[in-house]
Amino acid sequence: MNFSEIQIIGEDETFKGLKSKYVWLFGGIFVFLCFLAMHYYSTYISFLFPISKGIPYSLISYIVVLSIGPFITLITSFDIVSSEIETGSVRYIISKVHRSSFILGKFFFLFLVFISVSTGIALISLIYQYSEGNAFQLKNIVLFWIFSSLYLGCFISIFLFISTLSVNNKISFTMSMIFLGILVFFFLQGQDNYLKYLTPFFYGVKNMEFMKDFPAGAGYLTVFESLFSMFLYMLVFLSMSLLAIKRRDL
Amino acid sequence: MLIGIVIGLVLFGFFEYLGLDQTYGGIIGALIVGTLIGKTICKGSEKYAFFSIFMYNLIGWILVFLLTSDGKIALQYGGIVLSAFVGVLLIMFFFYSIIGSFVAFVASNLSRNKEDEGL
Repeated sequence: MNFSEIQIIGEDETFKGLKSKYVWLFGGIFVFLCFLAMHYYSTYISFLFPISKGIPYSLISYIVVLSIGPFITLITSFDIVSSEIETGSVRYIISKVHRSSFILGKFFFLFLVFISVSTGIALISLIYQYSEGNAFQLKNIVLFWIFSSLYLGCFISIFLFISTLSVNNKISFTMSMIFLGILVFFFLQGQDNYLKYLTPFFYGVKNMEFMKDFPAGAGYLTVFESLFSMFLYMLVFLSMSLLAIKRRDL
Repeated sequence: MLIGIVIGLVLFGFFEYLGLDQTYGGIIGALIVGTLIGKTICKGSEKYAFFSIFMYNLIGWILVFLLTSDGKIALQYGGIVLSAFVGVLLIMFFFYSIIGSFVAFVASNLSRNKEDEGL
């Protein structure tokens, strides 16, 4: 593993890759969906929240990220490695760089795109909050930014792992959908079930209360705990995909 | 596939004997059988895993219904409750089979090239 190699792969994907435009397009669609949800909140979905402390724009956008985010990451990242394996172009790349840097470069490219997407969403919700005359809640926005990037990063690492295992795009897409179904099934098993710890949905939903009001005092520990658990989840799937690419015959 | 069904039945009996929670038992059994099938069969292991897990769950539950006293009582009851119960069970089998086939896919792809490295 070499950091300059990772940087080269990431830059190549960002500026020259054919996939780049496609990923940015879907990121933009995602931002637009969040914008729509915030814009039409007051007319259509206001019955979801009690209007006592003003409109919780960061909460609305967080719910949109929680529900639509997995599908957007699936669409953008299911064929990131498997299309290269299918066309055979991966052989030319891994003869020049390490296999692990190839995977990490792809991961950082996608992660960068989705970090900028969540930055965009955070900025839009900040502007809305400001224009409504609410108090300037910078803490909530920063928390929203970190949590939604990590949540989307978990899904990126999952789909990257599946894409590394697959031979072609079709298998990768099917298996990603199946895995998403399994995660939803695990999550729907209920709160008193240990299977919920296997899903990123649980960690995402757990963070939703921080969007409402920032915890005072001992709350910092819980914030740190949930950040750490999401980071660990991401790291597990990333290391599994590194293991998979080392053992594969390309 | 036959080996998968037999191992699955043994595991099913084992979990039933332990009195483990149904969901955990089913998922752990599906994981073990899926890994085994993925390690032994390389090509198309997902289909084999799906069918064998579905089959052993089906056989296991039919045996439970026929052989235990609880099952006989449930059969005598009949009616809507029984059919709803069987429907829920079938959906659960389907989910276990999907989990098992996914595990088989992962296991087969991770272990496929172990023999090739020696060559």
